[in-house]
Amino acid sequence: MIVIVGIDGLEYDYVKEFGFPNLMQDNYGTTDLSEFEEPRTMVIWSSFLSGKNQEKRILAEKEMWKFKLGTEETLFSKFNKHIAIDVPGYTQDMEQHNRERQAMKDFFDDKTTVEEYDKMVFAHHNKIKEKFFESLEQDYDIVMGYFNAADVIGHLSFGLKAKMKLIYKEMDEIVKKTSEKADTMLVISDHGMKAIGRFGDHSNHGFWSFNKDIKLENPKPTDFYELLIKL
Amino acid sequence: MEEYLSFVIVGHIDHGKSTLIGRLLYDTDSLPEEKIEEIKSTCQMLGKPFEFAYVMDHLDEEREKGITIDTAQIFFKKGNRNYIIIDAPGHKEFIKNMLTGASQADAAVVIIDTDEGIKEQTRRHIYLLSMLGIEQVIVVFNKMDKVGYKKERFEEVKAELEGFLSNFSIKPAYMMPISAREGDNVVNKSENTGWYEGPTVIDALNSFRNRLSLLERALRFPVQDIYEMDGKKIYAGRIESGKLKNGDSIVILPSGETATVASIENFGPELSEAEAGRSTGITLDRETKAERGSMICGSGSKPEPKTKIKANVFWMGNDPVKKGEEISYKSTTQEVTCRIANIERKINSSTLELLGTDSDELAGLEAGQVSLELDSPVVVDDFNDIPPTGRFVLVKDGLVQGGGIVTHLE
Repeated sequence: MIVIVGIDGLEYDYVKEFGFPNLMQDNYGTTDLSEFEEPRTMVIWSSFLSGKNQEKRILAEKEMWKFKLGTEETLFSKFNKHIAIDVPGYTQDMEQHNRERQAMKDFFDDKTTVEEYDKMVFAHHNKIKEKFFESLEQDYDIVMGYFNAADVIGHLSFGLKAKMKLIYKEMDEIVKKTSEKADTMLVISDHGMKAIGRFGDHSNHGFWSFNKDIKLENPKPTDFYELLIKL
Repeated sequence: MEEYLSFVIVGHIDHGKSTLIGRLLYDTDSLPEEKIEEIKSTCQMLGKPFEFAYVMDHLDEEREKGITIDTAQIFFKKGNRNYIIIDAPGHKEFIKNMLTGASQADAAVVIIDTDEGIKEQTRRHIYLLSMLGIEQVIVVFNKMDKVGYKKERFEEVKAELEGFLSNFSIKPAYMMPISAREGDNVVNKSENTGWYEGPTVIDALNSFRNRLSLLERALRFPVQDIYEMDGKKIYAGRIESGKLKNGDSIVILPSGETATVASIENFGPELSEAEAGRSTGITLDRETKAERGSMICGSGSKPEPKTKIKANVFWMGNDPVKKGEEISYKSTTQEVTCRIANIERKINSSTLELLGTDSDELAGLEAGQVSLELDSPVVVDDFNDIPPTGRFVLVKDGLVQGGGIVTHLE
């Protein structure tokens, strides 16, 4: 089974500093986002899934967040049995996504607290985690789980390193548990984050790691398409 | 000004110094509640138990950013007592700070990993505490959780330490089994060490006394400058210890002239009294020959100016200082030419290796017990009595290259 653990906003520098071994796997590094105008979540995940730079196409949409790839455009079309859980540009739960965006707005409008905001994000995280582990028990050729707590929590708390470390630890544990089931595992983020006071904004590189002897030199998100199909 | 008991925590790297600092702060509720709560609530939402290690992560972060945790001094309070932890990044910095007066420790906590036992750095730090004359010492045997809280292991390491301590004048007031990580016997008494009947770390610290405040010491008012204004001579400087008021009888050293304080000059409201820490100017009831470097003392506590001093010296210069070489001795505003007459014992300050007795020179980072001979008499005091006049720096080629504390008044 090939497993992709997609982690939105996982920052290479934090992974390295915290030294979580499971996130780092056998080989790890940054991804090159220089072909993109900006490190936008929807653009990068869609480009990763399709092996093509989808920036122009997505920016031409009226509402970027409603963009969806057809299965035939994604790497999943190359596998018989596949599942992608909550992946942006493909299977993401838009209602949850809209709730998160509204909650962030509410926070800055002083209508909600960090605690309420975090509670909602973690509840979703726990739901995805459950579904992801259930999928690993089944007979898929490829499973992709998408976890967004590092990014969504990071926007309000990336500057609080001790708190972020807990989320990275949680992701490290998820990857560890996943490794028991996966033959090949890719951990990948769309972009990382940088601290602005207690808050966080997207950084200009992503993160990747493989459990196999695959050495990559600053790959682009689109490079993984061919690589995964060949595997 | 509020009084603080200041103490330093020393020990081998990884024996738990920063965890002990974290535990002291956490268990005395000295950490900003809000951020710790945010970490606790994150643990809860992720369904994970809250661990003390997360507090340490938070502290490291604060330290990195320089918030809450000042890198040099950490303040906290328990009950009515205020404490300052002097957090020296390394022993060299610590000794340098102590010698230059940047920090003064009232007490010290020596931390030892009970599992690993006594290490080279433990020995070195004990030597330094002894050299600096710190008498109020607690030894904590940390990481008791790692040895199953076994009394036998505690006793074993304690006996080893007692053997080593017999070489020094240091007599720890307390030796106690703790686990900083688990919070045993730091602020809260532990049930895991039912066999231990002594105090917790905080209770032990609370039993220590602050060094007598400089206000309560004898008057030392080094003259920095003399101004003539409206026909009056104003002796200006900073009062290093004690206090003075109008009408006090004083003596000017080393000349020995006596006089009475006529007025305390102040820019602003009129003062009749001035105390340690204040920069001020005074006038006297008669003409004197006082000059920069003279020391004004109370006539009742007149010290004998010295030309021979025994001291512990720490040399920091790149080039060594040789016996007999002309250098300068500076203490407060007193500055005189001096020579090292004897280097009775010298050690490598990093390894504590004895490098020789009756040596000819002190090289960089070497420490020694030396005799100094000064060209003119200066006022010196026992470092533990009046620190400002008990410590000095040594200047060579115009640069401060060494420092020391007076150990013996002949």
